[in-house]
Amino acid sequence: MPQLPGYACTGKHGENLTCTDQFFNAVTFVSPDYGWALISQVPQSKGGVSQVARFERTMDGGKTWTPIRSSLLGSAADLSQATMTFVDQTNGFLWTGTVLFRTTDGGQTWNQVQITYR
Amino acid sequence: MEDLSLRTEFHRALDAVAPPAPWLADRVRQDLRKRVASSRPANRTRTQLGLILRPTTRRVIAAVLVLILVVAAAGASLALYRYIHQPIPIRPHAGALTRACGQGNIYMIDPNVGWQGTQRTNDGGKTWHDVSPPTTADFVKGGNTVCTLDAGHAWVTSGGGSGSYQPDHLVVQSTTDGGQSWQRIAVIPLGYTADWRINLSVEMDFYDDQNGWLLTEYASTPIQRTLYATSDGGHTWNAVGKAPGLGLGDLAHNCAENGMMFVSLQRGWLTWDCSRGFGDQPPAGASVIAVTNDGGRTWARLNLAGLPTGGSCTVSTPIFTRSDGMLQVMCSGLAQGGWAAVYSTTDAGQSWTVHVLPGWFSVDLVDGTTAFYFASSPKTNTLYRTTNGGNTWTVAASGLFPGNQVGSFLFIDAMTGSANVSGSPVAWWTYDGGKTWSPPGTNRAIGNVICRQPSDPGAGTGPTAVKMVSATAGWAAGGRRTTDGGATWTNVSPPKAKNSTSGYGEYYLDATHAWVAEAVGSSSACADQFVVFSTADGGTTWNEGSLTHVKLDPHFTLTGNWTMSLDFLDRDHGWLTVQASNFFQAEAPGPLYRTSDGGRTWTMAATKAASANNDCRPIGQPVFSSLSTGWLSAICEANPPWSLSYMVTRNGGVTWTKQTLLPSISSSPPTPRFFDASNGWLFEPNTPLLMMSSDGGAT
Repeated sequence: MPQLPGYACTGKHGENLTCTDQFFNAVTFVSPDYGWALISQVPQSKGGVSQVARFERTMDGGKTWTPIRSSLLGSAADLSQATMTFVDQTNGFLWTGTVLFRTTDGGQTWNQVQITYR
Repeated sequence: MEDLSLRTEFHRALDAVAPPAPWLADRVRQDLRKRVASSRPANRTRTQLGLILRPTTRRVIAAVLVLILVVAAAGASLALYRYIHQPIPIRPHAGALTRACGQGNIYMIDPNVGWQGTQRTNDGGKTWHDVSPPTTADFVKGGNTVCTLDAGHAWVTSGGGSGSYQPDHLVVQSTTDGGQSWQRIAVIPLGYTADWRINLSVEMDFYDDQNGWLLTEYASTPIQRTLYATSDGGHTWNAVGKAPGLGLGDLAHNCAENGMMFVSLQRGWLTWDCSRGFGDQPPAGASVIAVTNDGGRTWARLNLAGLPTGGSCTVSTPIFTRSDGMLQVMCSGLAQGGWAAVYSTTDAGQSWTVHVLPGWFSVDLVDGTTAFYFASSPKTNTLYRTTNGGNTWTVAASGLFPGNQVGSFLFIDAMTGSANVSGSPVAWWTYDGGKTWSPPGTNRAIGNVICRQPSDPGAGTGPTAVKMVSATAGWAAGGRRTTDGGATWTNVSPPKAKNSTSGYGEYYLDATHAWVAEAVGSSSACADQFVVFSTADGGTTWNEGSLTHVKLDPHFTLTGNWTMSLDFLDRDHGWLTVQASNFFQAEAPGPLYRTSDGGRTWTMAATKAASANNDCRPIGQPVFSSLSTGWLSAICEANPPWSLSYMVTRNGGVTWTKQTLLPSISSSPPTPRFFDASNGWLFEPNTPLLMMSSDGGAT
């Protein structure tokens, strides 16, 4: 049975936090087996500002999930409306509605794309 | 006794009004001096001028000086009395038209330039630009108003202070270049303070670019009113008048301030709207207008003849053409129903004559003698006009917009006006005093309805609805495309079809293949067809498909406008659903079309993408996992929580059946995704929920 990564409201460095909410920003699959999940949480200590809590990957269709040490952790970007797309197992895009992030290593490193819009 | 008799003789001799014997005065004085001098010892005093005067002489001089002072004071008092009480000449504005400055309503300076608050138009209201001044640093809610005088001059006030409940001062900013630049020109301390929030109204009016007034009114008990005046364009403001509350007491108690207007530097009016206010109940029978004839120093209730009592009335600020003026009063809450009238004046507002309207009509006052109102019925609308201050009204046009209601309307001058009509997204315009009406600019109209114009979904400063299809290639709403991983986006959208309207849909399959659908009108409808453009080279060239008529199910009515959703399985096979553009307008599912030639031609697959008993309403775009199997998210309940339900077709969209995967989820069903005919997944973030399928969605 596929499942989503469990709820554990933890801080950037693994500490326990009191969370007012925790939600999945985006889930995407590039194949029936390979997928990613982006999870945010809202620690009360941060005044209600959402933070990327975890970035996880599944390689078995969602049966098990593995955390990825991603540069998105601790990002100040507002990801509440984010959509995520992977075109293969390494190349992915994260669109926040105003900012585009791009990864070429399966989600470990994300770089903001400087956009020219005509 | 001798002194007393001497004094009596002395005063009698000096009586200037009625001397008993004027020709004896000098002789008497001399004789008196001799007699006093012989009866008293010498008592001399050296004056500063070195003169030695006798007491008697000093008394005479003092008496003369007192007399001079009395005469001078009387003269000054008389002059002051005459200044205060002389009849003040009321000279209306040198320009032909005088009206209250714009305070948020549409205020057209000429057919092209106008204001709506601090929004400004240069094209007759087609487009508006925000030219608001910057927010002040210590901004506190309350005390905001705007006064737009002409194309260049405008003033705004905003509240400021350190407390959160109400401002303790007003900041005045002004522009002389139509809002391109603003200057902070004055700060007006507010003397009235309270430890709770009290509704504060601020009204402002400028007679010209130098002379203006600013009223603050607190909805307190008693009402706190203060009037300030400026004669240097708003840089300095001084309180006018000393009477508490302008001497108006609780006039218009609980009523909302409705405006201030000065027809001259002396005469002006304050108006209130008692149909709205600050009390629990609308104030009944309250007076709604006050007048000043001395530049705001003193105010008095203006008793308008014929004004009914017992209702809640609102009065407009007057408008003048030289000495001819009009104002409107509307009252509700009366036993006989609504009451409306215009009042006219020919003497710059010194006296007013009432003209009661035949119904509760809202009048647009164009100038001092010209006004319009619409009399509407469910079937038609008639426009009435007066050119003599409301004394007589004539039909300007009848049979206008049959079947549609006229809402707000506005005449810029006696010939040019606009009216909002139900069903039309933009206002109709007249250029002949209301006889004929036409859509603005390039807008098309069918009957009484102005057709919506197509919009660019990609308008804006950045991409929206980004869909990356490879490591470098991607698409965004409005036919924007990138080939460098999202860094550069270029508009490669197709041209607009003839008579295209606001309905729109798009689908991006891969780096090169894309489709854009446009709703198109005909001679009898704003939007009753669609056309699909296709590209196979990333938008370099587009092929326009054939026009397809939208055929509706007899039970399916699309109120308003509609849009489209597209899905393509491959380069040739695609589906298109027609939907109401407003989610809540959809009374039933729309028709479904399909193509097998890459979008050049479309045939109807189903008159409605729904189950036979119409128990679900499809939403979102169709998703086909094969040529035969397709999915539409469905709302099957009247209210949330909704079930995780889908409309599913197994014959290419001809028939649809309901499939419920879960009885309850936290939001509407998400669109499923498929890798191939068998494998798919869906994700609902709010429940949250992740489901996978490897049998084409059967389980």
